[in-house]
Amino acid sequence: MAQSSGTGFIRFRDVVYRYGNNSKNVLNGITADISRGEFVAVIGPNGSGKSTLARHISGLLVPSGGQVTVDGMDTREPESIPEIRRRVGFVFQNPDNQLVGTTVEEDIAFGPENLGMDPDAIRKSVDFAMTVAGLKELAGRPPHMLSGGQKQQLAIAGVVAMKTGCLVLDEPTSMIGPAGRRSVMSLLARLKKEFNMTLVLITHHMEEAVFADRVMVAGEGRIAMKGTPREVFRSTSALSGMGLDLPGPVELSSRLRAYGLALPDPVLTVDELVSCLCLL
Amino acid sequence: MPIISMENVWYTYNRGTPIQTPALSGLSLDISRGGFVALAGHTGSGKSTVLRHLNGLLLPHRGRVLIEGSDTRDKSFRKGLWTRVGLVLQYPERQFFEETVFREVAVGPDNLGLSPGEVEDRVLEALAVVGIDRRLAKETSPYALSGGEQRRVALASVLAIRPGVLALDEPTAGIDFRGRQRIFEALVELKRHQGATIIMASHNMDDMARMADQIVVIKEGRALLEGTPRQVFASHGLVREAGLSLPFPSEVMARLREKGFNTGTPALTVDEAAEEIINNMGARKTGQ
Repeated sequence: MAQSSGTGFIRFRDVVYRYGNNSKNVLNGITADISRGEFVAVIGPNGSGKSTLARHISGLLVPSGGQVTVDGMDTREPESIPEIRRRVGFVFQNPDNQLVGTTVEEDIAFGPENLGMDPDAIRKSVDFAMTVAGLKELAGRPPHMLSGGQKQQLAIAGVVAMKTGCLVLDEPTSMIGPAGRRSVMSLLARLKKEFNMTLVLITHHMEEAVFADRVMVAGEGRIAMKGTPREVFRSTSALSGMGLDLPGPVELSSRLRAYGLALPDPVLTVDELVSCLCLL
Repeated sequence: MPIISMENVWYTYNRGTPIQTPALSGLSLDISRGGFVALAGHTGSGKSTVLRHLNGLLLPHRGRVLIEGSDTRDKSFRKGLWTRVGLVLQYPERQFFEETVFREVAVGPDNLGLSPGEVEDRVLEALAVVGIDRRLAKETSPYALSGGEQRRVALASVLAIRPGVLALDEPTAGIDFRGRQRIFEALVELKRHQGATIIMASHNMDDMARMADQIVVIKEGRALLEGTPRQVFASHGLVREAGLSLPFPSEVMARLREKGFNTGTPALTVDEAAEEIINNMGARKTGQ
């Protein structure tokens, strides 16, 4: 395929990556585009290359072959990295590994300080980020006294304060409970809706992926499937074949269709399922 | 006699310092032999602290922890405790130190003083259980694996010791669906055929609903609620109060009940929910 006109804010072209020289390719020819303001969920089995792919967006890793560009800048050019980091923030799975400040407020200020913002601008962006992330009341709290969900909200707030415009999250909810997961997901929805942030969410939770604009399914270092959640989660047998589970509502509704209930295919959320059943 | 008994246990991290944080505040808990117990609770509720008391990694500041009747504060008892209680921590990537996956899993059996042949048998068996390829295991460093694969290696290294009690902190976090299924099948197998007792801290309500015989909901360092999954998830209010949610099938049925569906005890599996919905639909039709 020709290199298309390139509205892609993030572009992967035939990206190959291996750790060390002799090991097998973790990424095996990835070509993908992500537009500005888009919310993309990446799902896939362990070892499929999801996290490696995510680390390529922020330049934490650079391709062994092929090319990754962010806003037109090639991640292999070292001088581009600082500019790329101004555009792409990264949130890791384990919140304890990414918090540095002694209070919530200080932790959020760390990024803007490093970007060399003046004190006034730092103050403003920290306040803004705390408000957006719902951490205002916890400003003086030491990060280790926060719940897991709050720690991830804080990690996200740190990125929001840097106004990167794009946020890459590597399984941000896998170590936190249901309440924390809900708060992280509603924060992401807000970042997209109100600030048009580009979001790339790596996740094992299918019920999170259904809220994305687009889902990419990674398998053996390739993009095995992609489409809207509705398109992807209709392919139940392909997903099961890759060892993936289905969002609960998709599974239950397909069971009910087999019993003869006239439900749409697929039903993605609990809300949708309940209202469909009440109409029958 | 319960295999594990925690009696009015109190524990505070960084005790006596300005950053002291209470973790357990008078927690009592009995676990019977061969049980599959899930610990549920908000992050920071004390689940991990409970698990760390079971193998003597932490000792209570007040109260006591008895394993098969012996007190974990007894130093000579504690010395052999690792062979009875296997603990898999939340971040296994922090505890690897061997050069290959195979060597990593062999550490426990080696320390048990088994012959090289027996060690090899145990390692291969444990790797098979968690679904790690044996050839890969001999050639690969644990650090070259993906996060989910590392968690499986950590579990294998404890399984290879064959402890009677398995204490698992979020054993399936970050592990894909097939991996989760394999691990649960293995745990059920260990419980059924070797009589193992399993205590698992988890955030996954659906896993708990399906797997556990008993759920203990922990809040602020105490047991808030305890019972079978069906009993626990019938108490919506308390479950939510603890910062938790219902398993997906129970959630759907609870929402349908609000809309006038006639539903009974909470559904724990998708099959149960499907059956109840179909019954309701049938009843509605005949009622028309």
